[in-house]
Amino acid sequence: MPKKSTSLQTRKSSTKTHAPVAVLYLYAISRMPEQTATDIAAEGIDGAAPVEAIRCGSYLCWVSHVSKADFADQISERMQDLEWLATAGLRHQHVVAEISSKFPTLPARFGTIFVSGESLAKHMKQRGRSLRDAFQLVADADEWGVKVFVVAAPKAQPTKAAATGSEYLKRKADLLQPRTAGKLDKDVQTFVSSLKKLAIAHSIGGKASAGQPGLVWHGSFLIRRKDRKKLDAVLQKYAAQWKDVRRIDCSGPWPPYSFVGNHAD
Amino acid sequence: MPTEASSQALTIEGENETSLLDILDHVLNSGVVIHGSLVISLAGVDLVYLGLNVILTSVETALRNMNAHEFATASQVRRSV
Repeated sequence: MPKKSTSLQTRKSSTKTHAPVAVLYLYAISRMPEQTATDIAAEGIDGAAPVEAIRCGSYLCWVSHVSKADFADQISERMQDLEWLATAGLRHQHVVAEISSKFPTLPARFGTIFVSGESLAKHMKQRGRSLRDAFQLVADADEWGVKVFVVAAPKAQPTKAAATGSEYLKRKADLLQPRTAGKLDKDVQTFVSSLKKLAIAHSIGGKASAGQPGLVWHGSFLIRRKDRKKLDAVLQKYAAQWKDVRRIDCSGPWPPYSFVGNHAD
Repeated sequence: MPTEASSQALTIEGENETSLLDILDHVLNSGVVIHGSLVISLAGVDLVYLGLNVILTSVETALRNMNAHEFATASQVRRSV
């Protein structure tokens, strides 16, 4: 069994009267391994707090004790700070990736906070059935990210300079706007369909890179590990077919972020 | 659960910009949602890309100075095919 935290890092250097209130930041949930949980080397979400394992029923919840002020009260403001967002996002991924390399794991949604271990345990108990279903869905599978870019010469842009600032911004926004599914080239639709047939599940889009220039389509696929070579075969086939017209980027394997929760919003 | 795929030592190719965007694509607004917990949503997609493009260098520098991890884990690969 992993050792529970014996002291909160945020409390070590603080007096009792001015101790900041700590909350639990959840990274991931693992099935209770038979062996003892190992230490996680990756740094915590705030760059200071260690990553700890808390047992909740038959699961291990991986958490850090972080400042309530920073991660709960002011989280909306924090999310507007893209440098903070990028750094915290990277830390979240590094922790989840390390845990996933050791145990069957469900990644938690970025920014999931609990006020106490008791609160976490209560919510985990309520989610028992759906957690089992999620573990079953992603068993022996990985998430892969796929992007299709146009590499052909772009259409000629208007040569006339924008008359107003708002016109300039509109043109800029149009350039960055990813094409919608309805406008997808038939070849790209066929490519995506091939990947869908191969995958257990798929998820279209991704928040951060949606505005990347030249991006035609992007999404994630949940692929059984035994089907990895089939994925490679589809990618190679279309890469050869498209050559100088389109480029395919593939990243992974990722923990199954896109397939373990309800992301309707 | 080390897997065949994740245990392979693969190299990261391409620009770190894309690696960072890839990470945030997967991390933000996805993952298990536990009822009752704080959930954050992210708006302004295009602005996020533009903003990340601008701050990328400073984030990368900060992480390297902190002797932090590489952008992607050693088991991951990003490739153009």
